[in-house]
Amino acid sequence: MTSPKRILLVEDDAAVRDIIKEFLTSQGFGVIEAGNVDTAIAAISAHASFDLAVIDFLLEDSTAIPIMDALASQGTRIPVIAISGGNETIDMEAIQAVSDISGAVTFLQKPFAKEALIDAVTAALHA
Amino acid sequence: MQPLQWSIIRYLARMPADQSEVRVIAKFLGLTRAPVTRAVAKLESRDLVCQRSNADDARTKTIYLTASGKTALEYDPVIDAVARVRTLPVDMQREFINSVRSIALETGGTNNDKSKEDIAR
Repeated sequence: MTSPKRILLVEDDAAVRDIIKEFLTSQGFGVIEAGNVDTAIAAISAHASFDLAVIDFLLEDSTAIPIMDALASQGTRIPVIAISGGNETIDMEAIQAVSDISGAVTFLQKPFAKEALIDAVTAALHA
Repeated sequence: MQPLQWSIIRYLARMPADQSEVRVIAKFLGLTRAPVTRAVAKLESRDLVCQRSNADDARTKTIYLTASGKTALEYDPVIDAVARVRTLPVDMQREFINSVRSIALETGGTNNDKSKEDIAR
């Protein structure tokens, strides 16, 4: 029996994080969650073997960039799915562009369907 | 093709169909619906996109890329720009990435820029 794929989930909205975690867990993934940059980077240091990361690009006190850079510095390429609902000061096209250039393989605009998330996860794991 | 039209067909190539309505595209681009509606109409007149009424709400339409639209994306100027950046030494690529990050995040993309909207008129 193979161990479940491990996903780092970074989302500062606890309610949204719970929904995504519950869904991914129900799909057979192992989910390590974080609500901010520091917790995420600590998780990356503690669990060096993530298969995938799902990261909310706009966090309460920062962006996903330090987390994506921390993942990139691990040496092995860990696919990142960036998610965002945007905000009043930056449009999502710009967020997507920065996500792309920072190494994200997919960008999902919130709110998104669970099917869209599982399609993105499946594609990223098999890329 | 105008910048807004490129933005729309790039969006359609990447996003799921349930997010391919004018309202959602406009939100993504930080624009009102009107310029996006006009740009979609121009793309449709060039057979690059098509619109279909939604089964559960005939007032809304889902926009799809046509085969011609998918072909047009092969000529997206961004592809050439990315290829050029990738020829740079690694440290210059890193500088470029950091510059794009700063410009995009500090200026807010096009939320504070009406140029795309003006171009679409």
